[in-house]
Amino acid sequence: MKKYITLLFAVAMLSACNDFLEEEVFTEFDPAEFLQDESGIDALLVGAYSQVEITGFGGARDYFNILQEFPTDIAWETGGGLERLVVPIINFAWDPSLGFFNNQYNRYYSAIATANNVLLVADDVQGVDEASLNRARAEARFIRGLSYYILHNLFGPTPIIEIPAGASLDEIEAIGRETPRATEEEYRGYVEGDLVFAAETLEFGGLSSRANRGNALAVLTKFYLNNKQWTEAAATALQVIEEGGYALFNDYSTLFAVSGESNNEFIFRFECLVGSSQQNVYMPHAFPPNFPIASNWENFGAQFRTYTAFYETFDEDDVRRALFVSEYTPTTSGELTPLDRDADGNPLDNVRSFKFIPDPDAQGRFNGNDIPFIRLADILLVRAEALNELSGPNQESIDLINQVRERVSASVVSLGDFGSQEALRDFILAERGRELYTEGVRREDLIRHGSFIQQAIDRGKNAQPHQVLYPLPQAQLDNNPNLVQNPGYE
Amino acid sequence: MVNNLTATLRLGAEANQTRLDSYRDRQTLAGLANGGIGSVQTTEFSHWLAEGLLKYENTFGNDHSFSLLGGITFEEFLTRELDGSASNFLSDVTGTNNLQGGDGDANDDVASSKIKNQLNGFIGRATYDYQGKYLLTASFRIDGSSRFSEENKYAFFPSGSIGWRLSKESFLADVAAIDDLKLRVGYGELGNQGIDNFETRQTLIAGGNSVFGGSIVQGVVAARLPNPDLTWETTREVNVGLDFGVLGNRISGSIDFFNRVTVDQLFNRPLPSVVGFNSVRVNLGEVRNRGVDIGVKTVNIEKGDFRWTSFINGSFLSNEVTELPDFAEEIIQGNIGTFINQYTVITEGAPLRAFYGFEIDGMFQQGDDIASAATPFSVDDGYAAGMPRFVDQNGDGEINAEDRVVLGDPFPDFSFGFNNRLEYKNLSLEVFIQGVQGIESLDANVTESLYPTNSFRNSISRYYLDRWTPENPTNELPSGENANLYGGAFAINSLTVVDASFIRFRNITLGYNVPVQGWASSLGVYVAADNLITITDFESFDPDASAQGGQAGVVRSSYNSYPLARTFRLGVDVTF
Repeated sequence: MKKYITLLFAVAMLSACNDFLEEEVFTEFDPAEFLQDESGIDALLVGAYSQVEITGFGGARDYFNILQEFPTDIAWETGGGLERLVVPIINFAWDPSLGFFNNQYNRYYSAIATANNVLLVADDVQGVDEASLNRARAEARFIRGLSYYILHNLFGPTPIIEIPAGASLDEIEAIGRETPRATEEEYRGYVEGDLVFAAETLEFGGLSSRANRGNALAVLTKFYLNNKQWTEAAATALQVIEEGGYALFNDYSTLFAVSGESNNEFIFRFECLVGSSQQNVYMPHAFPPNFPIASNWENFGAQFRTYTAFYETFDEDDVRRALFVSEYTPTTSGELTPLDRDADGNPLDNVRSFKFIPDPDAQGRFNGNDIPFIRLADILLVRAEALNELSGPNQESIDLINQVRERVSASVVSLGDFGSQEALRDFILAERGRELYTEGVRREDLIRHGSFIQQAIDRGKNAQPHQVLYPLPQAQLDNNPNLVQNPGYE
Repeated sequence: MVNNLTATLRLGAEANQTRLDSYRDRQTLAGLANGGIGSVQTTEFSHWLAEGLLKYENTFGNDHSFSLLGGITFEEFLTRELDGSASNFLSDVTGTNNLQGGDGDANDDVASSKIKNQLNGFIGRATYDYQGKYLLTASFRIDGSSRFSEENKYAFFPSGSIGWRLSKESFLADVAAIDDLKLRVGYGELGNQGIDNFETRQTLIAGGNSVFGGSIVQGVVAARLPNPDLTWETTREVNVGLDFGVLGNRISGSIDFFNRVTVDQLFNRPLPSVVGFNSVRVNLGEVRNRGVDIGVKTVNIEKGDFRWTSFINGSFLSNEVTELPDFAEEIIQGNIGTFINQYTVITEGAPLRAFYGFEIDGMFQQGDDIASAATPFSVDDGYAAGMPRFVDQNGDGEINAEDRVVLGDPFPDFSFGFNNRLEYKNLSLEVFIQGVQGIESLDANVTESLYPTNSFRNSISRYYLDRWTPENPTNELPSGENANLYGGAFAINSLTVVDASFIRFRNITLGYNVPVQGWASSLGVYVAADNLITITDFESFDPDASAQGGQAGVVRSSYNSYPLARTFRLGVDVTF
């Protein structure tokens, strides 16, 4: 009855009033008008990149530093508002409600949703040539594959989400609330499918901050590596090394400085620029208290510290060691203060990694140093590791390792130094630490080598075997009854 | 006929302009690092209303009078913003008056926006009155909003009421004590369109930008998951009331019983973020507010020059979520600045956004068999004496998310205001007391005390001084050692969700009317005190404040709310 009365009035006033109640869009874009051509699709693609770019606090700090390094032998933290949040990570006392997990989960699923949206639009749009559409599809699938790679790294296989074109709100919700986790096999196939499509569709070269054949293959290589698919990892690594056109940058000490950004070593990077949404915020965490900083820099209460034992694994004249600060003179006391060991020789575990040399044009906490996700030195060591796993110590692995070591004036090694596959494996793991510290790959490296938990126990943490995976976030479990928590966290 | 017809055209408009200037000079850390940061935010808001009403009134005989009213309304709201910010100024002296004097670098920023929405309504009302004894009213509204999709723009809201003035009936006419007695019964529906623009349709918005080849590249992202089926939220209220005046109107007032059921609540329902969005706006569930409102005015004493009057109003309220759809049995939300989140629940049978967490019934003492008790972490992890004994609600021997219960709710069971006025000759004293009972809040100052983020943040000393120690085997407060073992999700518990009831002497005024002649018509002097005393167990500054502000639909919590000022005033009122 009510409906009819309403309808009657609505119809009666239709001509006069419905126009009056039109909802006009001024500051946002109407998709029907915006997504007409290539530039519209590209803008949507850029939006998808912006979601997957691991920069800033919630991205780079939380993922690379906190989740990927604080539970390892390299770094830890005290001070600031951050301390309470990261103590569970450092001490292996995390639970599914810890905010980092849900934040990361949300980030990468936002990127996946945006990438999926590009794919839907590409299937629908008229008047754009097929080659351009395929490039857009390849970039979208790269973003999606990369997102799933990171999720897998943190949580193991998660649900694979695809929303069909024209799905209703109820259908979309049902997909969200009901989709179970993919099996390990399905998941690997899916990520592989995305990255292979990107690699086959795109060319080598171009910007290292957008998808191309080289970085699609590099992400695929790391995915194979972490899944211990040694043959595949060795093969794609070789393709990157031989065909990618990448080269080690001659000066490691400025590779991560703004001045080193022109390097051809970063295979996939997140470009940072002061004034953009993409910022490197590492350095304010690394300056020790009252460190003499420029007036346009900032020093946080939250302090990222490096373990003394790790710092001491470098040769004395290894260039990579020089990027640590092991003593300094605070502006307050004026006295030289050690950060590695106290006067009695006790470790202070307070060395600072200054890898991302502060941007001279930084604005406060925001620095413009690009953040590498995968670089050639990593891929060289991946191939060395995969070949050792496949056939034990071999000359090619040694040569690859020496390429990395010679660049930084570290002593070269020879095949004779390694009597067993295990000896070389351990050396490669240590070398990866020395080469890739502060770049957020240590956790996955230790897990792959089976030493993540034992090392933590040796540091005095109550680490449990199941902690090689982080738990699925509680908020996700609350919203989807079909999600099965990782073992040990139920 | 035409004599009884009134046509009214009402036009109204308002325009507001606000401008916020902020300049951080080189004395601040951020200002120093950035060479001064200046920003100007301007907002222009305009709202106009046009209302046309036609009213017909007539009386038949002496007994029947009636009226008919019809009308149409149009409203438009328009907000336009223009913001600019810049940094790296040559000097701090120009402040925000020379934004172009910034270095023009990428951190300089401009933003503008324009947003508009419209309302259109039709109203009708009929009243009938028989001898001033029986009163009937029937009315309706059809409300339309630009925010809903074509199919759902308009909704129909009827209402009606019956009044019976008993005091005019012959059987009461002789009762001298009763001056006025009127019974009212009413039913009404009201709509709420409280959503943002575009929630029923998809739009693209400028997303976070990317940097490619050293330059900023702008991208777009889908703004939301739209819900084209959104419709008006409707509140249906049944109301039974009694107005009375007795003993020569020495005691007068009203009492109202109401049952207010809100259906199709406009609500942000959390979504599994795997679909790309964390929430979607929906019409969801049913919430019932039942209660009694009482207001009584009494003249207690009136003798010679002395007069004492009181006014008391009280309200009993019970809020309950009565229905949720099957697919959303439990909606858990909440986020506060101290890294505490997911602390409220919406579930059938509980008040809306009730606090949801763990019940603590004491502390483990030395010698307790902690290993075989239910604990969030094991003894091997370090769970020890001095840590809380959580109640294992489901008795499965473990403490986990399944053991959460409703710890309190953000609605007062009872609230009242009590005003007394005493007058003697030219002297008057007025005392206003306000009370709120049976309300809870999550107190972030307590979470900071029990689970310090770091040592610099506000803490309450009691949580440290009275903490559990082997020498002080209390059951009230934990030891504070290794608080992570009972923190995280467990930080939402019966220690941190606290009673926020209070009784407050809101205002006391002592006044004196100075007799004057000639030069002024009246002269009053007064001394007043606001917020003189607050009686409460609440440990933070103001039990009445919510960190999330007073907006509808937000969860309640307390976090360093600005303390309410205690004010003493001395005043003179002169009328010429």
